[in-house]
Amino acid sequence: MEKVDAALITCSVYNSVADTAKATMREFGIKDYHHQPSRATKLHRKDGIWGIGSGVALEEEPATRFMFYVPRESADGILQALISACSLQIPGRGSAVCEEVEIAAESSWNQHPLKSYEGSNNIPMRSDFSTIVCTVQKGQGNHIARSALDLGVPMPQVTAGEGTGLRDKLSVIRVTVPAEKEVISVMVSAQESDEIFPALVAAGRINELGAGFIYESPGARGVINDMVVRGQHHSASMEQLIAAVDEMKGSADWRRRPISAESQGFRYLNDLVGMVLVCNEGMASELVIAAMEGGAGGATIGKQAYSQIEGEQTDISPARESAELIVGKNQVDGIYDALLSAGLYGSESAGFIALKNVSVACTHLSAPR
Amino acid sequence: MSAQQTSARVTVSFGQALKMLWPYAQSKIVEQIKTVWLIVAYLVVFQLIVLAIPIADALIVAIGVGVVILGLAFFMEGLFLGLMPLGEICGIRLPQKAGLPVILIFAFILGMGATFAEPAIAVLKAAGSSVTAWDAPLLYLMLNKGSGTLVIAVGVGVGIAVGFGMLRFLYGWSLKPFCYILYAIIGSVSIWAYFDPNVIHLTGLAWDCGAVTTGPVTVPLVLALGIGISRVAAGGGGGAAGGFGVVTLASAFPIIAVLGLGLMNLSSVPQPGSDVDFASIKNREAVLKLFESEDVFEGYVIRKGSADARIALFGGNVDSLDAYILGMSKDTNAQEKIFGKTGEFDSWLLKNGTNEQRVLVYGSEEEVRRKAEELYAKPAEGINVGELLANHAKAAIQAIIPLSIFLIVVLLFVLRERMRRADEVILGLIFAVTGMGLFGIGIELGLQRLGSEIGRNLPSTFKSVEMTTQHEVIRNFDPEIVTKAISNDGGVQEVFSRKTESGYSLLPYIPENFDTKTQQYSFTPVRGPLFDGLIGIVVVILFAFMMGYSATLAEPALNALGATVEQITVGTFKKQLLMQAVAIGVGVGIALGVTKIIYNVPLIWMLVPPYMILMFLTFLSNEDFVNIGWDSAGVTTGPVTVPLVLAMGLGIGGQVGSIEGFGILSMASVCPILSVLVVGLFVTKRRQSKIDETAA
Repeated sequence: MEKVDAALITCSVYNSVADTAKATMREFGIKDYHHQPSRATKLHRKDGIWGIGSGVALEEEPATRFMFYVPRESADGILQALISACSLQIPGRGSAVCEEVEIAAESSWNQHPLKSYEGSNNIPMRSDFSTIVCTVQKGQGNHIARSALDLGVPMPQVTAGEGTGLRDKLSVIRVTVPAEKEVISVMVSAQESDEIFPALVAAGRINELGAGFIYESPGARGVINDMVVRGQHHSASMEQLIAAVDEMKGSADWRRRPISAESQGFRYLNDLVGMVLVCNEGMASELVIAAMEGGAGGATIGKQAYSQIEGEQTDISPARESAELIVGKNQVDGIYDALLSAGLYGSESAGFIALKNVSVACTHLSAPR
Repeated sequence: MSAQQTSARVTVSFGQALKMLWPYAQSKIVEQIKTVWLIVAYLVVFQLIVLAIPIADALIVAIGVGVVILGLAFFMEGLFLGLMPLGEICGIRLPQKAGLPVILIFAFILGMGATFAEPAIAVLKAAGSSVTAWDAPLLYLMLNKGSGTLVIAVGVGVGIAVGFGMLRFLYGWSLKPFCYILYAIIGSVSIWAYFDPNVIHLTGLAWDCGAVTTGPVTVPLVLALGIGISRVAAGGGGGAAGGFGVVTLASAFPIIAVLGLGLMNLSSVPQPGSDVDFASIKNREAVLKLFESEDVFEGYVIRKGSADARIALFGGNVDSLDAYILGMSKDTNAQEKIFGKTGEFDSWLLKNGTNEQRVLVYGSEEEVRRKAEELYAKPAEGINVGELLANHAKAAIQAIIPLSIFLIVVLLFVLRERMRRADEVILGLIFAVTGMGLFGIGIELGLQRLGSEIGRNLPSTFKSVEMTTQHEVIRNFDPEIVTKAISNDGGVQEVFSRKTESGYSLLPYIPENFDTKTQQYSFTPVRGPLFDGLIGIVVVILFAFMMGYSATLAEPALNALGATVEQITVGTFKKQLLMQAVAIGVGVGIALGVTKIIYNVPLIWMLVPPYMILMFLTFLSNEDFVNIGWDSAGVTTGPVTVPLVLAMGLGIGGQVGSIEGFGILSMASVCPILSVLVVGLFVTKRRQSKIDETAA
């Protein structure tokens, strides 16, 4: 499998900021992008009425996640443009990050020159993020999000998905197995991920049978929404103080409470690759099953929309599906071949494959053989 | 890392399958119990505690409620497995593989088909049955002789609506102009109607047609279709609420179609008048246009008219009337034609005929007495289980199967698409049909009985009401036993004592209830008022609110809509928030509707001001909430609410002498839009302020 270097830009913003993000992408020369509705969570400290109903509640807001691929050298420019246009440096608006990926050469990728960023204010970006993506049964999403927020991780985002795996090998009795999943993704600094990852595994009991799947992908950079708690009013200057320390330290890491160091004893999987599969609506489940025959585990399929700003009509449908296959490095070629023979690049699927690094993953593992 | 790498299908043993089935079935049933318990508990508690009337046929009602829950569980699962995925995939593929004309033809046929499939028109007929041909000739014509044309008009309305709905998605048009224009037309016709006695009833019918067309099959189907089309529409599909809005159009267009149809018929119907005028020979020619044949007309007047009207039918000649009745008694075919069932004629004659007529038919007074005893001794009719099953099975198959076949045919042959997970879809359709059948049976056995019993008895909270279900007859009554009782102010009343198995009671004696020929004293126990004046009315209005509120929570179409909204907003617009907003809206609407009936407020006063506010709020709201809010209005009037509300409306309407139960349903449509828009404005404002906070 031949690969091309690229960068995946993911911009997650609250819906009221989404139009600005779209306009910026258009202006910058992005020709097409995928997007997906999501639910962004944060904590809200309520005073209540005379103390009744006070406490910290989980607050959910509609947000949109935009995803597109650019040449690696253009990544910083578009990130800067998005950050300054949407004021993402202000906590509570959204985040924009870039991950380095490799695109399978046969995937149709509209590689084209982008405008260079000419804005004056260069906002410092951090370059040490890890993305943690956790898939759980529907209804568990808020629990994981809350656990992450309680650890001081900002803006967990939840998207909807449908599991594919053992279920699809069953006869019609499969309707009794719920397939709906929730996928929670968070961005954490690389140092902290060693603590947060096991904490989320524990929160979601990911190591138990049928509970879900979690993985971490290192090496992202950008700006993330640092607001964890809304409505936290101390003395008037406290927030400014915190912001000032943030700026001094260059991050909000100092605010996060360390988690109790339980001896977790989870068994992890290492040296993995995330194969990001994107294809036309209705095709993902067949492709994932083909990938499973080629050696992959299951995957969760999410619905995405494809928007083309300009360019010729292609086989790519506006209704798309995506799935992330987390596989061993040595399995990639086999699975890729299986996908190819299942019609990955046919006009019906109009598939796309990108590879990203996955440093660690965890799920229920059967007893050592 | 993968646990299993076998490609073959995994076979599941029967035992394992059962183990998988149980938690699944349990969770689905528990889900439905949660939606239904409130309305059931409320009706039972109200009947037992407030009205202190035992539930007749408690066992049947309980079975009915159980069947409703089971039916809903099957039906909802069937929607999510079969009907909605089918609709969505058609929606996704249509714009990709077919041109605009094909999409529009498809939409039109789907809309028409959905209308014919929904058993709604039958509901309207039931509602209209309390309105007599002389009070509302136009309504009578449209619901009876013209009912075929009415259904077609409604179907065309829905077909055009679905077509416009698809155009909206494809080109990203806003719903707002549709709301303004359509409801401006409807509003002006309604206001004009206020000044024409024939058209007042037409407006009620039109509004209710708009409300009932959007039923539990149509709504999820057009929603799924819309969501599919929005996902691939070049126009962007209308944001987060892409896919919504068709239900609104499918409520508005049929109203316009029915109003139009009514206005076309207006010139050919007589003006409303008394039943005697109606039956008189001088008006015969005009009146006959309302009926299929002269026989039907005569039968109608004889059954529904007063004694004077019956005489007027024969030009004032009593002998011709008597001859007609005598002829009828000997001709069982004619009886069946005019009274429906053979036995009905005897029952009618004994209750409504004059003594001369009775003697004429039965020969002697002895015979009349014997017949009357026979009639009253006849036990109440049992439930014909076979007929019940057959009717509901037929209705369910009719509502779901033709539409599904249409979609499958379009998918396979027009769009040339494979059916993915065909086994799931087919299982879903079987579930949906089973569910709808069970649900219908359950509603008829359970909720409807409970509802109509309460509807009848509810007015006893504020006025005295005859308990018609407890009608009693004392045979061989001797007027000698009647004595007198005195009240505090010296008024004297005739009373008699009666011994029953449970003891002795004193009853008022009303001479008219004593039939000297048959020696029978028949009476209906009277109850109420339970509360004095205003308090009683307040209790009724509160009851109406709670009933609307709790019935709405059980509506399947609203549950499907709520689940869809939650799904496409990834849980940020909670199903519960929508359901609560809509249910409160419906509750308020029904409470206002009942107020309208009690105080006989013209419908126009109840509809125009809320719609004015609604237009203003629509103008202020953002597109997502306009779509969801207006669509919620369409789904509130479904199979749970409609029978309960109509039973209550007709019950109260009948007791307070209001002639129609129409109009309550339309109130139940306006108010939920208002409540959802208000919630929407609040949510939007809060979200904006959070973003503004960050910019500060």
